[in-house]
Amino acid sequence: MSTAEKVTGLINAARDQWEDERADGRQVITVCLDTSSLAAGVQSTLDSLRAEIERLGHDVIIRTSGSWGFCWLEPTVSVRSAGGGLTVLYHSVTEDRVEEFVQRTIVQGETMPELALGIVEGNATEEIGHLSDHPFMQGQIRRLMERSGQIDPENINHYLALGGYEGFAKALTQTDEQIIEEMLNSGLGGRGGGGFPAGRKWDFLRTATADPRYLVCNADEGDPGAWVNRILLEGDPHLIVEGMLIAALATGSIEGYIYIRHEYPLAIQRMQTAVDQAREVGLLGPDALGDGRPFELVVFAGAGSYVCGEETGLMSSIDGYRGMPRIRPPFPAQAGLWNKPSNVNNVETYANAPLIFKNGSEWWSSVSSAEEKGTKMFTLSGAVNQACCVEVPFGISVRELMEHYGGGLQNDAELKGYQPGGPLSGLLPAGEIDLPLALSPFRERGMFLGSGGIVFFDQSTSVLDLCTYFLDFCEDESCGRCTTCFQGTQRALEILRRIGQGGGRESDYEKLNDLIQALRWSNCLHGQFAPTSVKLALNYFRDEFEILIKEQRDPTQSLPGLIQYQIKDSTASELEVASELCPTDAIVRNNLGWKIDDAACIRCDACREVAPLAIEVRDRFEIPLLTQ
Amino acid sequence: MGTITANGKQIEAEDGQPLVEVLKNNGIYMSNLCYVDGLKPYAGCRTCLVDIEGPPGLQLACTAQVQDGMIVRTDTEEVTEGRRSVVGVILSNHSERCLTCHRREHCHPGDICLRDDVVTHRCLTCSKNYRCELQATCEMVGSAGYEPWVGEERTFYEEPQPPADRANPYMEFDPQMCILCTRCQRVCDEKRHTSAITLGGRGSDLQISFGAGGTIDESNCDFSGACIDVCPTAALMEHPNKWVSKTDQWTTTTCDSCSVGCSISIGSKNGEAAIVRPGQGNPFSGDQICVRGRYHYDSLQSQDRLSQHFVRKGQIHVPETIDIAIEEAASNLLKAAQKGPIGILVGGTITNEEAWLANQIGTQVFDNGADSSYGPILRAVTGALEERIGTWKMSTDMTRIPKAKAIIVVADDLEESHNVLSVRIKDAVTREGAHLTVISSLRSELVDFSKAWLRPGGGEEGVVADALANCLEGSDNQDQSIVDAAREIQEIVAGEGDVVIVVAPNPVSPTIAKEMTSGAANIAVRLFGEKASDHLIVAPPEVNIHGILDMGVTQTSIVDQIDQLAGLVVIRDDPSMRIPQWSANHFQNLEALVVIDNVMHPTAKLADVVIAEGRAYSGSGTYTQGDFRAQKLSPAIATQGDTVTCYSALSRLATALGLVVPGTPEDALQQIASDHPQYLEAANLLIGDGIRLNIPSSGTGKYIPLNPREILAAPNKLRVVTGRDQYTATDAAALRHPEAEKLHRYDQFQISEEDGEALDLTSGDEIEVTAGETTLRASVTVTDRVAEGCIYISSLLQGGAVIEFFTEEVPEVSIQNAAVRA
Repeated sequence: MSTAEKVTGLINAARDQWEDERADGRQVITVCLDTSSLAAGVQSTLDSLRAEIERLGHDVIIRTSGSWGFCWLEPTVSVRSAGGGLTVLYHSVTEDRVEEFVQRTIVQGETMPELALGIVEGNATEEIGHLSDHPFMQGQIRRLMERSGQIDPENINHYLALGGYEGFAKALTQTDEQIIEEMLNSGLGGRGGGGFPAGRKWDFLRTATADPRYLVCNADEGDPGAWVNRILLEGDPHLIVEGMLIAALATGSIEGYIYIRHEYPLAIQRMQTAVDQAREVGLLGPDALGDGRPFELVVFAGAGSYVCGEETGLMSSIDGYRGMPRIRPPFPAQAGLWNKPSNVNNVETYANAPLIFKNGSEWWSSVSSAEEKGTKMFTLSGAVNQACCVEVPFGISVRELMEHYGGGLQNDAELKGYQPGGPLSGLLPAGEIDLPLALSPFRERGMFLGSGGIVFFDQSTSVLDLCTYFLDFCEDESCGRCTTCFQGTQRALEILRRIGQGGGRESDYEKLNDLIQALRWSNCLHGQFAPTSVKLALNYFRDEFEILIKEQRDPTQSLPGLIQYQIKDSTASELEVASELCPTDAIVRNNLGWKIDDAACIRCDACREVAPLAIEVRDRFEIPLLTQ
Repeated sequence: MGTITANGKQIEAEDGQPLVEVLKNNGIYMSNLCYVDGLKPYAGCRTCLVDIEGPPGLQLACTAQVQDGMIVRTDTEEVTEGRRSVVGVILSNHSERCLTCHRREHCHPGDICLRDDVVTHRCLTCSKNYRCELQATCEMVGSAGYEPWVGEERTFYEEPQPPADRANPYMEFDPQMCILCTRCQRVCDEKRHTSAITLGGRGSDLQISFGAGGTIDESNCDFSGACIDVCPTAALMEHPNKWVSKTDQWTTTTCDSCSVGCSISIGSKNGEAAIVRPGQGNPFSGDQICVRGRYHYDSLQSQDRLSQHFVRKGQIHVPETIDIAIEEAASNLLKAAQKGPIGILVGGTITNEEAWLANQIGTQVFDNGADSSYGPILRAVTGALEERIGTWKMSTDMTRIPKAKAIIVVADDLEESHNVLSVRIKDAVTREGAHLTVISSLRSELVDFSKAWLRPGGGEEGVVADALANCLEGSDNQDQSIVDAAREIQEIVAGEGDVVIVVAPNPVSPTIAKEMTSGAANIAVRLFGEKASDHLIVAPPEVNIHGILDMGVTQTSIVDQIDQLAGLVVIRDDPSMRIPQWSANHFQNLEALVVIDNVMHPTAKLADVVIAEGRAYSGSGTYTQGDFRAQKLSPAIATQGDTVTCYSALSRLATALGLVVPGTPEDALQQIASDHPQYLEAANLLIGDGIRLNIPSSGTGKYIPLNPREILAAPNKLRVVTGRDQYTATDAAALRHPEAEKLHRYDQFQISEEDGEALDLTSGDEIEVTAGETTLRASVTVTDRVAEGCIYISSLLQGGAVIEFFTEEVPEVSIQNAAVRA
C-alpha cells in the first residue's frame, strides 16, 4: 500500500466516523476553549455546564474546540440540536448564565436569540441569521480558520474528515521539484513578516549539499498584541503537521521542530496531542513520507525570550545554547539546526501549504488585490471595541480592519495611530489609516507589516509613553551580543524617560538620531529595528515631541512625570472618599482645607474616578523649565 | 592566494581568511574589541566597521572573509564616524571620562581632575592603565572629545554595579569594568574547554559570571588565566601583578613546571618577574599556559629564597662569598672522596647544560656518575620502555595530538599534572571528534571528554592498560567497557586514523610508574607492533627529565648507594621529598654535603655548603621536554643578591675540582652536540622557538606482560593514591610553606563520597592517616574525584610527606577522625 493510499484510507475512515458522530441523535454542546476564552472565564462556564447537565441527568455530548475569532465575546458556545437540524453559536456564555442557558437550549430545546451570534448549521430563522451573515464574518475569507471552532483540535479524525491531509496526499504523488514549483506558483510569502517566497526558501534546503536536514516551525509568537499563530495552534494543530509534512517531502527533511513559546501551554499541549496522534496513525514515523522515508516532529517549548523568534536565535535555543541570533552567513539552509541544513517558517506559512496542494495554487492565489497572494490572519487589539482575530485577503485597508472588524474605537474616541507589527515595526499616525494591508507600503515607510498583530491607540495615549514602552521591551529582550543593541537601547530609553520627567532637551533629537544610526550596525533585526518606533514617532508625531521637550508638557496628560493632581473644589464631599481610597495617603486635610501631597502622589488616578469634579489633572510644569 | 586592496595598499591573502586578521597583520589598525584570533567571529562589539566596495553601507571586518580583488577602506568618513559612535556607545557603560579626555596624557595619579571625574572612575587609578585595549582603541578611533553621554543619567552610574571578586590568590573579576565582549567566555569555552564563564541575563541585566554566578573559586575555573589574556579592560586581572602597569622588558623562555614545556613570556620589572603570559612560537602550547606557568613565578617571596651562600661552621650556617663557598665545597668533597664514593643528585628543572656539567663532574672527578632523586622512577620507566620498544626515546610528536583520531591516556590525572597537554587532547575531542580513552583512577574534567573511562582501582592504571592491550589483541575481558573501547580503537586504526597513547608515569612510586609505562607501551605494541614508538608519548613529571636522561644522569644509581656515600652534591633537588625514609640518619656517614639551590629546603639545612643559585628563569640553556623538543631558556630575571646562575655555580665548582669546562651554557651545548649529534640543530638555534630532536622510530615492539602484583584489600583501610597536582608550587612545597597551595584544595586529603559516608566524615574534618610508623594529619575533602576505597594525597602535600607511605608497593592506611581521638 502506498503512502498516498494509506492517507486516503485514513481520510475515508475518518469521514465514516464523522458521519457516525453526526448521526448520533444527541445534543452537542461545543465550548470554545482557547487562551482568550480561558481569560474570559470559560473554565468556570465549562465546569458549570458539566455540573448542570449532570444534575439534570441529560444525555448531552460536551466537546471543546478552538477559537472562532470572536475574542471579545468569549466564552462562545455552540449548541447542536437533537437530530442535528440546527447548530447555533452563542457568545458571552458566562458562568452566571449557564443555568438559564442549559434550561433553554438543552432542556427546552429552543434558541437564545439574545446571545446568538449566528447559525452554523441549518436554516436561518427570523430571529437568528446565518453566522456567515454576521457583520464580523462578512468579507472574511476563512481558509486557515475554516475548521477552527468547529472541530475538536484534539481529534485527528475531525481534521481528516473535513479535508485534512488531502493536500499531503496530493503532494505525495508529486516530485520534490513539482512541489517547489507549485509553491512558487502560489506566491506564498513568509508570514512571519519577511514575505520571502516560501517556495524559494524550501528550494534552498532541497538543493543543500549536506544531510540530514531539518524543518523548524517558528511558533514563538512574541509580539505584544499578536496571537494569530496561537489561534491556529490551539484551533487546528494538524494543519501545521500537514504543512510540515509537505515541506518535508519537498526538502527531504527527516525531522521537524515546532518551537512554541512556553507562555502558550494550551498550544503546546494540543500540538503535542496532534503530533502523537499523527504518529499513531503512521503519518509521522519511520515511513511517514513513503518509500521508507522517515519524518518526525518534536514539539519544543521555548524558554521565553523574544529574540528566539528570530530564526537563528530560535535554532540556537533548540540546539541548547543561549537564545542568541547567529551571525550570517552561514544561512540556515547551509548550517542551521545542529549545524545541518535547515528551514525555518512561521506557523501560518506552513499552514498555508495544505491549502495550496488541496485546492491548487491557482485557487489559492486567486484572492487578494495586493502583490502578496492569499489570505492573512490579523489580530486587532488596543483601543478598538472588538479585540478579535480575522482572516482577510491581503490588500484591504487598515481602516476597514479597524472599522469593520475592530468595531471602531472604544467610546467613539478619535484614532491617534496604530502599530502594525510588534515593538520593532514602529508607529503610524491616523493619517496613514488607509494603507492597504500589503508589505510594500510599510516597507516604504521604513517599517514592516509584521506577523499580524495590529494595535490601535486613541488620542488619550501619549506617543512618548508608547515609544518608551516599546524601547523598554526591546532593551529588556536584547540578547546582549551587539553593544549597539543592548547599550544603544539603554541610552535611548534613558533619554525618553528623561523627556517623560520633564527633562527634555533640544539636543535629544540629535542624540536619538545618532543612536538610530548606531543601531543600524547591529547584527539582527532586533537591534536594527529596535528604534523604529522612535524614528517614526519623531517623524509623524514631531509636534507632540516639540511640546514635550520645549514646554515640558504632555498634551495627552497621561505621563506621570508631567502631570500633577490638584484639588479643584476643596469643599466637595467626595474628597473624603477619595482620601480614603488614595493608596499613598497623598490627599490630606489641614486647616486650610484639602491638599494633594505631590511628592506622595503616584498618579494612579483613583481619586479622580470617585471625585471627578473635585480633583483635576494639571500640567506639572506650568512655566517651562530652562531648556538647554 | 588572492590580492586585496586595503586603503590603496595591495595585500596578499588567502581566500576565506577573516578580513580583520589580514588587515591587522598587515599593519592596518583595526578596532576590534570582541574578536579573538583563531575563533569564530562573535561580532558583538561592532567596532571593526570597514567599507567594502560592493555591498551598501559598512561591513564588519570580523565576519567578512577575504575574496580575491576585494577593495577595502578603513579611512573613510563613514567608517571613522561609525566606529567612533559605536565605541561611544560601548563607553557609555564604562567609566569613560578619562578615555575621552583630551588631556589624559598630561594627567598624573595625584592630580585633581579639572573635570571633576570621580577618583575611582579614572583611568589613572585603574590597574589596567597603559596596557588597556579599550584605552588604545579610544585613542585610535579618535574618541578624545567625543562625549555624547557625559552628563546623561545612565543606569551604569545610577545603579550599584555587582561587587568585584578579589578573594582568590590568582585572579580578580570586576564586573564594573566589563564591556560584555564575551571574549573570556568564548576562550574559556573554545580554547580551554573549561566553560567556567557564562553570559547571563538580557538587556540591562546582562552579565558575565563564573559558574552559576558565585565566586571564581566556586566555579570549575582552573585559573589558567586565558581569559585575562584576552580581556580588553580591567574586568579580569591577575591578582599578584594587577598593579604592575609597565614592565621593563619581556623575555620569551620556557616554563619549568612540567614536561610539556610551554613557551612563556616573562615581563620583568627591576630584574624580578612581574607578569607571565603565554609565549610565542611554541607549536604545541600555542597561546595556552596553565596556572603553574602563569603564577608559580610568584610562589615564594624573594625573602624566602636564598640570596647568600652559606658555609657551615659548627652548628650554624655562615654567609660567605661565592669564591669561599666554592672553595670550601671543593675541598670538602675532595677530602670526602678519600674516604668513600661521592654522589651527585640533580633535579628535573636543571637545564641540559647543567645536567651535562653535573654528569661530567660525577663521572670525571668522582668516577661515579650523577643521579636524580627521581632516579628510581626514571630507571623503572626507561627500563619498561627499553624492554618493549627497544628505547626509552619515543619518536612521537606531541603536535599530532590535536589532530589525532583516537587518544589513550594512562595517567594519575593528566589535567593536573600536564594541563596544556590535556587541553590539546580536548581540542582533538571537541574539534576533530577524536575518540578518547582515559585510564585514571581519579576523575578529572578530561574524563568528561572521554568516550571510555576505564577507572582502575588506585595505582592499578597499568594493570587496566595492559588489559586493554590484551583486548586489542582479541582477548576477552569481563569488563565490557574495556572490550568496547578496544573495539572502537581498533576500528579507528583500521580506518587509518592517527592514534596517540599518552602516559604520564606516577611521580612517587617506581612500581606504579613502571606499570603505567608498561601498560601503555603494551597498548602501543599491540596496536602498532614495531612502529610502537611512533604512537607513544611519555610525559615525565618534570620539565627536563628527558634532558637529564639524555645527558647520562641516572645511568649510575646514587640513590641505591646512599648509605655508602662519603659525599653528596645536590643540585636543585630535594631527596627528602622523593626518597622514602630519607632522614638525617643517612647523612651520618657523609663527610661532605653540598647543595646548590635557591631555597633552604630540609636537605639544604643539613648541608656543609649551600651555594645559592638563581632560579631557572635567570639562566640560559635548553630543556628537552616530553616529546624531545629542545626549548630554549633565556634569562628573563636577574639573579638575586649574591646568587649566581646554576650553570655558573656548577662550572665554578667543576673548575675548583680541577675540571676544564665550557664557560657558558652556549659553549656547553656545543660540547653536548658533539657527543649527542641530535642536539646539533638545537645548538645552532638562536631564538626560543625550539626544535624537535631527530628521534628515529625504534623499529622494535614486543609485548611483555606486567609482573603480577598481589593487591590486598585490607578491611577498614584506604589505598593511597597520589599524583602531581596543579596548584602546589614545588619550591614552596620544598620549604613546607603554608601557602605552597594557595587555594588550599590539595593541601587536604581527598576521599570518595562513599567512604565519607562509611567513615562518617564530611569535608573539612581533620583526620589522621596512619600506616606503620608514619602518620599524616590534615583536613579531608569528600569528592567524587576519588574512587571508593582510596585516599588521594597530593605528591607535594606537606613537602612530599606521602612518600613515607611508599615503602610498600601499595600502601594502605587507616583513618582516624582527629576530633574523635582528641
